Amino acid sequence: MSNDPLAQLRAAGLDRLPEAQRVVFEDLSPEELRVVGVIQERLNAAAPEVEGQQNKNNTLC
Amino acid sequence: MREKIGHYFVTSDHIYADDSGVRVQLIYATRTAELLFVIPEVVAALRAGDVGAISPGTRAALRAAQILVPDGQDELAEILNRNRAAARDVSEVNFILLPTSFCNMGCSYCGQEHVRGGLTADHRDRVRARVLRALRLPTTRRALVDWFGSEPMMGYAIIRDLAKDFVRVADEEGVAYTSQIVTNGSLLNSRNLDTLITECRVTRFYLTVDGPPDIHDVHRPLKSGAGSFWKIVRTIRAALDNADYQHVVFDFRTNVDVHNQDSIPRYVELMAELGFARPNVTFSLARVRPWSNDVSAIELAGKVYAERELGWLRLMQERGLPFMRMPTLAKSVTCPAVQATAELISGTGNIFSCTDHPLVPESERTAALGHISQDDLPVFRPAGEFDGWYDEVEQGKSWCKGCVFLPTCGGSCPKAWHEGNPPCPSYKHNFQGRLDLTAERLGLRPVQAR
Repeated sequence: MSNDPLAQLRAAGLDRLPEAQRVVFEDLSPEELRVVGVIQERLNAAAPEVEGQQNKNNTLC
Repeated sequence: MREKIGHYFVTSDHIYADDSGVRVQLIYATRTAELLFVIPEVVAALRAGDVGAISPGTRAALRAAQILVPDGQDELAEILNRNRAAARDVSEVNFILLPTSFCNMGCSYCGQEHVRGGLTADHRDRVRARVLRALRLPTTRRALVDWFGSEPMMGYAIIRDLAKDFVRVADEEGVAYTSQIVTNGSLLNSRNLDTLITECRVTRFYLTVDGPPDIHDVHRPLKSGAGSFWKIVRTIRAALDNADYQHVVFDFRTNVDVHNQDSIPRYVELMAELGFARPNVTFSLARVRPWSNDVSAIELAGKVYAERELGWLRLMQERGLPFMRMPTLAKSVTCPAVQATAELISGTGNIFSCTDHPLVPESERTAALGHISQDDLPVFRPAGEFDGWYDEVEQGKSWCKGCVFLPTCGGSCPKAWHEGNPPCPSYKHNFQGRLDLTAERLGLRPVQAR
């Protein structure tokens, strides 16, 4: 495994985030950086999550 | 600025891990409907009230999710004021239209009374004029038209005629137009489906299928006596292969009661085998609840249903069928009944705010806010029974005031509260299980805390 804590973030594509979001990662602990990288890679690999809200109209019919 | 740990979040009871040694817990922020994966030390710090033990980066994320909030902030007031503003927002208009009063099905749990005909001679033109007037308001930026029933496809010709003008005027006025239909699906075919999508700009179909064919066809019988399962399923399955329909969402809803609950696993297996594990398909389950009718003999108790639902959702996940594990949007408008610019026009011409009212005999007699034939109708519907819903929440007339899920649920159904039937969503009762599913989806499994 790379000693570079940002390597996993790069692998997950997170280094391409806008500057304002990317700087947040600089304030994470090394363990948190690793977790973020791993989770993001898995989210990228998973099917898209169903987004939104439950239907606001009652839909018994 | 000083800050505090807010009220509106849920943490997973479980810690999750994988073989690589990653250990996380989940935090679901209900004010923003955001899900955060954090190291267990973060949850421990939140539970201990020790914000200083959390890294600056995670504190920023918690702040963005409104888990850390300014000290002194009245969170309930913030949420309710956000909702009140959304409910009064005139930039979006929502019309829920019943193009007919008839339904070709006779579901035992339905509280509506269906009759053929009944539309007044100028009903269609008055509905058209009312919607077009709203589309032309200088304040209107977005319009949502829902085709609703009874069975709206019994009035397909009316849908087609009205939608043509709605779409044209929306385009002329620069109004973002979206449309959805709540249908039993039995009258859909490749031709009218294409027309609904391409001409009427319907982008979401809510289809009710109550189980595998032998169950669905009994639970939702056609008045003709014929079955509808295969007609519905084959039509939609074929549509999924049409590259031009990838922007269209097909939401399969299953109403669950004592009669069909045991068949849900078989239904899930069948739909997966038939190839419905597609990104533009969603599956949703809902327990049968009163629709101004007595369903006490068939209704499942909320917690019992939630426990069983979790097993069905797990099976869906294993089979790859898409479903919503948890809301990803906060709900600032609970339902059309609390939205000043939303109204429902029944096949009788009566105007309501609540989708449970049309074609229910008692409601048609007593709950109408107006009638489409009136010449003096205001631009937006007259005030209704539920427009003060957020004030009622604030006054503690439901237990929503103290509920952590208020921001994503909004109280679910004010009408049910008024009738003394708390309508809490199932996820309130099985949320930890849903968090488990969310983690397992990413290859993480629950482990013992160290």
